[in-house]
Amino acid sequence: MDIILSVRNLNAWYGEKQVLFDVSIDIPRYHITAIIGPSGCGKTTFLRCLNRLHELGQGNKVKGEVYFYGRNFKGNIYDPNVDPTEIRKHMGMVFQKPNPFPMLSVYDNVAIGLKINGIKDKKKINEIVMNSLKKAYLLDEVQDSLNKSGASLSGGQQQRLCIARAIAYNPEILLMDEPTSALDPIATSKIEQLLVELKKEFTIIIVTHNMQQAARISDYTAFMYLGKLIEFAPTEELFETPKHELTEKYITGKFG
Amino acid sequence: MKGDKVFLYILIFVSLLFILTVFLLGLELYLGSENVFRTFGINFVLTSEWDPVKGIFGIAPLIFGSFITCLIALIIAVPLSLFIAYFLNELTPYQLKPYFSSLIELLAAVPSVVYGLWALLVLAPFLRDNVYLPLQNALGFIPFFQGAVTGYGILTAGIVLSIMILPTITSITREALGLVPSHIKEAVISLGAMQYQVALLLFKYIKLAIIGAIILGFARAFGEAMAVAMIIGGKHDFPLHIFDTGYTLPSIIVNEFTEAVNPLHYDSLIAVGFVLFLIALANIVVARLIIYRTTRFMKGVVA
Amino acid sequence: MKMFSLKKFYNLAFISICVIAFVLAMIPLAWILIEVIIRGISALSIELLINKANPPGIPGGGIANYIQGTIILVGLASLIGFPVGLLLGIFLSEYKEHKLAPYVRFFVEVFAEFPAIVIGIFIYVILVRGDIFRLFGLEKVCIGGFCIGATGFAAIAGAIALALLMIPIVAKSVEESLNLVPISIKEAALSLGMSRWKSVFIISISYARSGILLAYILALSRIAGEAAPLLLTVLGSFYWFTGLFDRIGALPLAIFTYGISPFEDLKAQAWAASLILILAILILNIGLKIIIKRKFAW
Repeated sequence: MDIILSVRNLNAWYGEKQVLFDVSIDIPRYHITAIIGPSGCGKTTFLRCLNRLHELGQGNKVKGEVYFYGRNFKGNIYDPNVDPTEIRKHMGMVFQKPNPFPMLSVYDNVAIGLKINGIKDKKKINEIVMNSLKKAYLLDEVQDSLNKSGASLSGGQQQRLCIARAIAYNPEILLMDEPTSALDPIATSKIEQLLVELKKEFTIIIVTHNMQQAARISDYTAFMYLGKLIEFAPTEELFETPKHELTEKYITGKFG
Repeated sequence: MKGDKVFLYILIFVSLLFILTVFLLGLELYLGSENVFRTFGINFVLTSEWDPVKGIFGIAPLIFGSFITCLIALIIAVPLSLFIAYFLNELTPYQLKPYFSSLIELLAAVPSVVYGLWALLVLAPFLRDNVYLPLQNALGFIPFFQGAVTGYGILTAGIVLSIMILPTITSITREALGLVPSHIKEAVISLGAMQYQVALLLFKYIKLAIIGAIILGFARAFGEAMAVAMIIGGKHDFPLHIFDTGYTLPSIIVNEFTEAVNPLHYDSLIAVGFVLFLIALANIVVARLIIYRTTRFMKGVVA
Repeated sequence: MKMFSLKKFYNLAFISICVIAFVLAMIPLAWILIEVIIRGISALSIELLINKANPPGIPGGGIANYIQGTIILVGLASLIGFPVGLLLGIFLSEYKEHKLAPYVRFFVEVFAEFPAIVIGIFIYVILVRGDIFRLFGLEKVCIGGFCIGATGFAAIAGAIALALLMIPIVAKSVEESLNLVPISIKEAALSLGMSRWKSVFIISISYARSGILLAYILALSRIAGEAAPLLLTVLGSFYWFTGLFDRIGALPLAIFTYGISPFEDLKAQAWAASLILILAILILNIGLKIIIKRKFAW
């Protein structure tokens, strides 16, 4: 297994309250890893530790190591000499509620990631924007509304726009925080198809409270409970032959 | 990371510069009036003789004039503001609210010189002929109402000030009313209370904020210079009756600054400014602390 | 039955008083506006708007130089006042957790309520009289060949006084507008790999742009009508603008000086000047609000 992220003893706090306890996991490259677990188990916090977003909250703390084996970066992202802003350029994040920039056009929403990374050539930007929209299964639908506000699209389209925005500057990892929980089933299935396509180019880590979704699209699944990683295995294996009692209880719906 | 550090340093630099300026203001005002306090000592604020030629300056009547005009302004403006605030927040239909609110805010948009001009040329003569003189005819046997009636003076100043501070008191009261948790309103309405009973309850709830609003309105009126200067009448002594002229701290600066006759005169005016600064500062700080405490309390209660 | 109607009476009385209070507040507003419009229009003429003022005693003359003066002073003031206010507003909104923040907020709130005349005296003392230089034991400060000392009554002093008035107004409104930027938008920007300061300027300010522009317009309309600080720093003038370190005229000053003068024609000009001033303020407040809502909102 080619590992892209190696998390070692990750602990995290919201102020005084500890929410992650010694989480260690190896994320494989170019696969979809799902993180499941009941509400409050820390899966979103874990995700936000990977792009160093969690520590921005007032009073939040993170301890531990996350080794990132990227194209242009190899090392612990929590090393004190590392600039968190740099790390985030290697990762893209899609949030639970679609949050395109309403004051920017559809086009500019995708282009902004490029512009801040120093790409100035208009032709190149155009090429990448169109490409990203195509990869996000959105180009056909917004061909004629590229100049409209990013918020003028439907919910499902907005989320695909956020995906296009996240992949435009070619990050290596896509972090997805329950990306379809606010969408209708048709939009959801479109995005699930999209993710399966995208894993050819990106490593995808998806947090989901929907076990069926995890079973449908992910290659590996991690089950978390009360801030601890309980079990991590190839998806089929975890769902059919869970090794841990808690995993089995969760999967069979004994608690939500 | 570096860009962020530089950005933060710039912000901190500007903030410190700003705070320094506020301190500098107090310092310079004091320094500018130092020799006045050295020359007159406490008599500056206790005596009432103001003779630039002789070089004697006392501002006791000015302080009195400031307080009395502001008091008149509050007596008129506070009850009106409370009723208007309740009217705007609770009695105005939803569609009309923005328009009616804008109308009250328009009162604050009129520059004070325009208030002064109108008061000088329109209001004062009108009040003299239609209100003051009849009032004096009716109540002239009371010493309080005896004296020359010009239309200018502390009463007119008080009235104009009341118009000018009305939007301030109204808006703070409205904000406080808006912060009252809705379940309190709903509880008392579901008990069958009528508007006036709801109003009583709400106002009791935001009692402290209203006090803060009053103090802030007082501070506004206290510092108002142009409009008062144009109609106060410029008497360097205590007003003796309700229609009398007088003076206030800000208005003497406006009226005498351009024609100050000697350096001591200038310095005395600066000293007036320093006294004004101290009183204004005390008012504002007290008012802000009260309002801050109440809004914090109410925001905390909304749980 | 009798108790019931007494309460109803109180209620009716209360509601009536509320309505009457509102109407009472509208009376002076309407009265002032009507007087300004009627007397202002009757005194208005093309000559008035084109000619500069005449020295006292010489009839005729216009208010054009006062309009110019107000525009220059307000424009200059906003060059200092807006950026400083913007930075303070950004600090208060984006760096709430910084230990300096509560102090800055306190001082901004307090400074916002200072009487304008106190600001005027302050600038008079430190710039017009030059005490700030004497504080350091100097008569003037020279950088390269450029020297600044006591300015005397000067346009630049007036502009700085107005800028000081402007800063807390802008800071508070900018803080309010930036506070409305949703956290999800800020996080989306950061997750793209934007540094914090870039996310503030490229995303947050752009999101709140209509609010910020409105803050600017509001502050402009507030200081355009101020006379007290100008009286003590520029003293007024009958001439066109001649230089930053010379005296300058302004509409509010003219309204004051002409209004208290004994000359009927000057008093009429004061009404005309009031009309222009109020029109400018109304156009800024209402007209631009509408334009901003249309063009800058998304």
